[in-house]
Amino acid sequence: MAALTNLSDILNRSTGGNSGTPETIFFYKDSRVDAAAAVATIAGRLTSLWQYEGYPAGGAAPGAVAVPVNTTDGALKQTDPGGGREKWLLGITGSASVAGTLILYDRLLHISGLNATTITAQTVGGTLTRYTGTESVGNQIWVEVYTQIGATSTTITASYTDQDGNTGQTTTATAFGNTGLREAQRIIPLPLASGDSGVRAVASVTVLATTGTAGDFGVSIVRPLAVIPLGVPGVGSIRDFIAGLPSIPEVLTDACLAFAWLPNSTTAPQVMGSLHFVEA
Amino acid sequence: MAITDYATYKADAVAPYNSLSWSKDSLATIAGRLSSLWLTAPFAGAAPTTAAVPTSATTGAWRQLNSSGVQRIASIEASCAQGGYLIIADRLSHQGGLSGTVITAQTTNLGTAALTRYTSGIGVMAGLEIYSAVGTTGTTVTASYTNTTPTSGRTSIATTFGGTGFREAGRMILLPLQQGDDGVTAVASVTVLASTVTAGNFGVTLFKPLLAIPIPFNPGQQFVYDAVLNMSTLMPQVVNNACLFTLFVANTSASGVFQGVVNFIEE
Repeated sequence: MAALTNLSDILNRSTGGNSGTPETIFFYKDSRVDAAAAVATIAGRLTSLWQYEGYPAGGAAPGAVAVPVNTTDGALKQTDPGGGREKWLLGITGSASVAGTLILYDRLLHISGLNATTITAQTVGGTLTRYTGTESVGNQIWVEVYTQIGATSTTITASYTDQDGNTGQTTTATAFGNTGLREAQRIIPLPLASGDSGVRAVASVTVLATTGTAGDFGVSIVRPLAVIPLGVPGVGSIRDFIAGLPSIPEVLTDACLAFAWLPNSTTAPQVMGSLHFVEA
Repeated sequence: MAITDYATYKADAVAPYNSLSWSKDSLATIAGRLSSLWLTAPFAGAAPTTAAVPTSATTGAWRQLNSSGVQRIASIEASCAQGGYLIIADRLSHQGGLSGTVITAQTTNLGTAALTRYTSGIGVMAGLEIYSAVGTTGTTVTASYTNTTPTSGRTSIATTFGGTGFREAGRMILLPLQQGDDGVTAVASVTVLASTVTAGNFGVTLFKPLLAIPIPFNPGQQFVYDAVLNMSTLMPQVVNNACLFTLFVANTSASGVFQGVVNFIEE
């Protein structure tokens, strides 16, 4: 982070000096998807806010494998840094209608249209353009449900390339299907194989046994950037990355910033907040 | 111009260009729902009728001074009787007189007055502000709006309207944008899908959020937000004539009595 030299430099850039290009984005995620009430959350299960409507507009099920960027619907649509500069996230504020934890991440690659009754390997593929190669340490694989899958419990694994470029790595089988692990917007993180700390690519996913309903699910490769606890309904929280950890996360050019929600209850949240960036 | 270093900021902060004291009585709220304090006394505004562009001189606005340079909010010292999330915003355009029982496209006092600030519409939000309670029957609402392109005839995503939490005076119901959009420049009409059973009075407000601060969950506790100490150097610019007002996400059934001082600095 050599580009941000000290507090005076940050102040200068935050007020438009030295090509700081400060940007503040206010977001709102309504608890609605495709003009209907969002599916109830499950306490302690990750929920994707990718398709939640609001400001900026909500996203869609991606279909074929793709690399989403900052202009993709569902992203927060921050501007890219100019003049060879880098973009830095200085702070976040937020408030939610119910208690939970908001997770900001860069959505690196996604696909939908996978079938929860197919028990052979289903191809994912695609090529990352951010956090590639050795920078893939910290990338995660999330299974995302777009249309509810079946009520029969099974497990799911992915074949992936790890942070060192080893192909054919297999995630630890994790529960898939049935209550809490089947509903639309559910996120199911896939645990990496022992010794791995990141992901360069996902070749395929395999559902061990049918869940009973095809539904529509997908795979996303994501890079979590920040977490903001919103522990009391309505009460705001703030993360100041100048004064706290993690220290001023970088937001890569074209980053597809999006949110996941770790709920405390079964009520789908409305979430508001702001993010504050500078360039250096 | 910019604030080039900490010494400059410190000098500005200890001798602010403008300090405004303001207070608000408690408003009946719903936990987790966004409310506008526009009609809340003291320093209350009035429910608008015809479409208008409110300014810093409009009753209900903070009436901060205009600046010959760049004016920014640098710090807030305040206390509130309830925890929550306070949003300071520039109220760009508003109108009223819409009904919660009319189920055709309503154009009374619409389209909204043309923006004179943040005219690109990027980051501008559109909300339905309820001035007198609409009915207890829950339905949905959409609006036809112009995006930032600007392309007219865009339709907001249907969102909940009427019924508890979405009907009471003071409630601000944000209109989610159609896919592809990131802001609003005008609203042409509003359509309530089915009657809420009570007409009430609501209107469209276009606003630009500038700063949001958490209100600690310790009723009555004094808190200080300073751009450098705990606000990640966020110092939003306040353009001349901005109609500053506040929105509040409450933790309980009341927003709580609020009092505070906002310090502005000028570059």
